[in-house]
Amino acid sequence: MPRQRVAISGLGILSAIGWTPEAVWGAIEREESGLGPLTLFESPRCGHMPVGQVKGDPAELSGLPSGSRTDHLAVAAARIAFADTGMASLGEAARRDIGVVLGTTTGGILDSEEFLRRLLREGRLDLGLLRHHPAASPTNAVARALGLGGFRATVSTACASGATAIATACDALAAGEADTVLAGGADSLSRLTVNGFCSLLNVAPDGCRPFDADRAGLSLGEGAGILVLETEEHARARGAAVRAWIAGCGASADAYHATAPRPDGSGALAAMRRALHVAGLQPDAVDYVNAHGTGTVDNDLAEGRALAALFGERVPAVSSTKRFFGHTLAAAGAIEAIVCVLALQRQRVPANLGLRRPDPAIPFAPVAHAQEAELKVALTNSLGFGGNNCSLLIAREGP
Amino acid sequence: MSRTANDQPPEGAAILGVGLVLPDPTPALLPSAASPLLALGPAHVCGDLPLVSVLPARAQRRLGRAQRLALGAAQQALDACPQPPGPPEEVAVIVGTGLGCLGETAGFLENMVQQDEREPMPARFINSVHNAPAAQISIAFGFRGENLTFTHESISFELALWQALALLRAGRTRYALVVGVDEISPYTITALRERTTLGEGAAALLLGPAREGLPRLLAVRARPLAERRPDPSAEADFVRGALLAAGRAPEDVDLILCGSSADGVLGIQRGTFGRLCGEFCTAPAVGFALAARGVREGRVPDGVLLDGALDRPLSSVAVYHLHEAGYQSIGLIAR
Repeated sequence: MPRQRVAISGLGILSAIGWTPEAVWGAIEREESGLGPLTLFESPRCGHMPVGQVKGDPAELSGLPSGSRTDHLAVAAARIAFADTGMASLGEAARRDIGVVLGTTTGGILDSEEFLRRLLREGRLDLGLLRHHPAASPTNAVARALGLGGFRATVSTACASGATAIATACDALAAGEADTVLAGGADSLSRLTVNGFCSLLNVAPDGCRPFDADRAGLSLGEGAGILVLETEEHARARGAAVRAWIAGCGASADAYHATAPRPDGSGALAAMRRALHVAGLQPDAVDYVNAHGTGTVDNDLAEGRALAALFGERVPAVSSTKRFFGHTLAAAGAIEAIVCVLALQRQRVPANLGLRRPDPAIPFAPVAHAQEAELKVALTNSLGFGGNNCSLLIAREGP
Repeated sequence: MSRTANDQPPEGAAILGVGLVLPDPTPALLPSAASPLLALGPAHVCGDLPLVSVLPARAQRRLGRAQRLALGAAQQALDACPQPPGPPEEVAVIVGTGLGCLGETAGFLENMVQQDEREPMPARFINSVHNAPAAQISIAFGFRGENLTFTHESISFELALWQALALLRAGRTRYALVVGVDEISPYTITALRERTTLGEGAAALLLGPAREGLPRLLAVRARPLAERRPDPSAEADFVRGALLAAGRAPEDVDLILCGSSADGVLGIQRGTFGRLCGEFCTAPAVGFALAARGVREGRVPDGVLLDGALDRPLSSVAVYHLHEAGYQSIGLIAR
């Protein structure tokens, strides 16, 4: 039985190309990449690789007296989303049942790295820097900052975390845990991830080029994406301005390798099929796919095969927006869900930025430049380390 | 989870298998640490990490501590099930871990700082992600259903159980292998040693369609608290409400298993899981495993009981946890 659609009534985003949905869409229309030099910290080995670093200090927007950079990113995006949905004036009692479900991969690791540096280089034990290490820290920070006392959960499914958080939030709404949930993901850049991905030799020296024949790896980024999700009943009762609807979510495991995707793409395919099944839709209902498309050789090939297997010869418009934002890890699934909402609202398909020569091994060509299209349903994929796959279907119209 | 009256099926889910990897009962010192400033213990430590039959031993030794603990508990739970769960697409793996793979994360970062990034350790980066235990379980056993990891401090395992019940109820999976795991680290001991004796371990429950005669997970609730310690009446209301939603009155419950804070709740006979494993974020998973075995066998180990011997065979056990970080959880397992 198809799952009831969930209303998306507010959007909040902090990214390398903007701090509001409008700014982000402007950069997408202008095809401006957010990739640039890494200045947040020094990295002797990997600092020359371009990254999608958030410009400015997110603490200015979060209003938090303390917290990790990821906490600040999450809270700032949550404030934007909360204001966008018209709930900023809600009283204390009305906020008590609102839930928060976020995904993160590394939480406050940037502070933990500084703890270790001081410990090992200077012999100082500064335990206060570990306060924000737990992955739950951004979720709790959002709940405290906005006074939200309802259902609360943090998920971590690597690069699928943000999408998984949205799916879990939909489950919480379906189960009656809450009628409103803030859901999304947040991750800051960190030495752990910058060095980690460099050590795997899959970071592109000149920036990622998803689905390109000459792609050489991913580019890291940071940011936060938060969506305000409501049950249809709640959204309609309060007259919310619904931006779009979550029509279905699907998840799967590759059960194949700790980092490499299953080459035939069957894990990603299973996630997409489950999302369609839940939504009660056929593949031909999908008008646009925001692909995971990291720009690594293996990921893009496997995802390309999965899309071809799902859609056959009628692959809809496909683009990866990773070169705009960088790969923002846990934030990616939420940010890309927001991109889908904006695309549905504007009836425009974002460009697959960085594409020069489509990979002939992938049986379709992504959209090279932004274009107009009639869009009713968008699909976004998030495919993580360990073979964690999550697909979200986002529809312009409600039930 | 503030409003949970309608979130779980009244029949619950059958517990088809239980796995439990406990630390040594006597607190010990950890073997090594990167800096003399880090405390080494004492803590409840798993001395011999389990080896599972589905992976070569050499491959297992390359895994992180949390991955190996989780694999060990998962294998036990699967071995305890008379029929292997399947097909693979119908087996979800849901892991709760409060702090994830600390040893691998610390190892990667310590090396990065000490070597000034010159000789990175990619294997430790791969093993550092929070979902590494869940991913490794899916790889080792071939399960291709939904694969999720909850990382919300001390309610991580309860959230994993909640999600499993939601998936089962919605018919999105036929089986759910739910694992709680956390590993000990010199960093956690240093940060938290003044509070309690820390521990580590893993527990697994294989959930599936209800079957006659097997223990069932009837309900689980977890919620953040506005205050670190609720007043006693609110605490009792939370427990009573959860039990009633599961169709049980407090007097129907034979035993309530608590963590380190084992104050009386609604006059139910008390036990504690904290004695067996020390304190860690997913220690309640140990409580749920003990409860499941207790309901199946009619008894729990004597060392668990706080109020003397049981006066009747167990048929209904609650697991209750009030964590000082500001969460409260309750679950109910019954025949």
